[in-house]
Amino acid sequence: MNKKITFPELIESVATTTEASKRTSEMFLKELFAVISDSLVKGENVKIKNFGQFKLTEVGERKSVNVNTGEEMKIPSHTKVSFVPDKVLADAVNMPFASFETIELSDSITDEELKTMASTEPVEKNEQEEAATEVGQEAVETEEIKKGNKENNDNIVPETETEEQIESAYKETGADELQEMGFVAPAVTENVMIAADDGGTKMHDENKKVENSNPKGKSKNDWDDKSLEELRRQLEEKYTSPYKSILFFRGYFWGIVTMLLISSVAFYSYYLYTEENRAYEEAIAYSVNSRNHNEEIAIPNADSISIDENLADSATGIERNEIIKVNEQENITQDDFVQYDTVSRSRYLTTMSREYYGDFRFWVYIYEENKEKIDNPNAIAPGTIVIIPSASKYGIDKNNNTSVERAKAKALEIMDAHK
Amino acid sequence: MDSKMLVEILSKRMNRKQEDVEKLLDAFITAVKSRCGELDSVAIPGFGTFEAKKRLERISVNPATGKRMLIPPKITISFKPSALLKNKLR
Repeated sequence: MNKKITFPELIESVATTTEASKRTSEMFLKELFAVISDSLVKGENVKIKNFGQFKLTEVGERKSVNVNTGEEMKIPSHTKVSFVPDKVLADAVNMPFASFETIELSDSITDEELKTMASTEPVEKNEQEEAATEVGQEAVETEEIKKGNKENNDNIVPETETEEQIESAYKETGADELQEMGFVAPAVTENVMIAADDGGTKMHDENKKVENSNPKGKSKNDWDDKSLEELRRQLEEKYTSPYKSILFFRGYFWGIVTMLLISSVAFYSYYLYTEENRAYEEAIAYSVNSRNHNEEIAIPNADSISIDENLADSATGIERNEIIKVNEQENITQDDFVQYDTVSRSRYLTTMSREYYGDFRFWVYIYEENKEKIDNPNAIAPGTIVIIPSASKYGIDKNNNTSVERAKAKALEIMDAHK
Repeated sequence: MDSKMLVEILSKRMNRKQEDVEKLLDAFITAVKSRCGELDSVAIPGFGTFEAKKRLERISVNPATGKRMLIPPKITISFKPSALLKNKLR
């Protein structure tokens, strides 16, 4: 990835593929480029089959400005060499993205929607995205907090409660996502301000502000404490009606509920993480058995779904030929043809499909087989281990037109679902 | 000059069979293919650099019909001639 391949490295790779000696391959490469440049100097275009064409173009004289001195100068006419890759080469290089086609956009799609689409599209953005979804979860929870907030907008205690909630949420999401959380936090403060408006009295308003700024530790002087005490007393006198006390308890209730929700989510994700680690090790053992191709395995994130489940699924779904004892607790049986592969930055479902079935369009079946693990086929975390279903299971045949058509239709369906 | 001529000239200059030269040429092409497929760049001293560049997806508008099209992301290969080659051509 973004490495620069030097000449010696190129010589070595040519030597290993042709089984020629390094000397001959070095000589060949040197001669090759000498011949090409000689021919270019003579003014001849050079076309190499399966590679591309080196074209010469005349550039006419033009005026330009010297960037340093600001003087005007003339660039004399010269010939420029450009390289046009052959279709074979261009397609081979573009293979990871070969499955995408140009889509005509309907007028109803707004720019904002496109932006959100763009953020989920590129595969490279996986890690950030996962973090983003995590933040999304938290955001949903804070949303709930807000709901609770609205119902008791005359109360103080729940507000401080929510502040605490957010604080804990901060801790959970970690420093990296502080920025995103920062996006949520102002919304809550806004809510508080709205609540203050609903309260109506000016005194109340003041109280809210003090409450609001207190948890941030900005104003911790005596005046604040005193005035706070006073205001609280006045408020208590005001809100002694039974209706208010009901509101108070309801707010308290909502606070506890959200607290429980957050802690349960945290516990669940921790549970998944440990579970997955175990499953992951097993899966690696599998993939080593079935294929030698697990480069670039990244540690899977907590929120991708446990591989264990998938193992069980595939085991029950497929006819069993040979029983292999895998786990002492659960005797998972495996079909001889079940294969595993690892998604990496340069290895996509389409790459695998091309390798196993001879056509990239059958990636939909790999996706189908691993639906639980992969949510969006455009955004799979590198290191995700996927099951490669046997070709007979879905009737995959690259020479059969109807089979290909079916895969195409399915791909459209899946893409529609993830727009 | 096309592939055939290139192979011919090379085989003469290297005193080797044309098939061997073709094999070597194929190996070179596959090397560049696989390297650029991984977004690496291949530098050849005195000649230039083959670079793989990732183009992001974009929206383009067909000026004739006014329709908006979403162009998918793409990896393209580009060639940057070295200063030496540029000077030779001047």
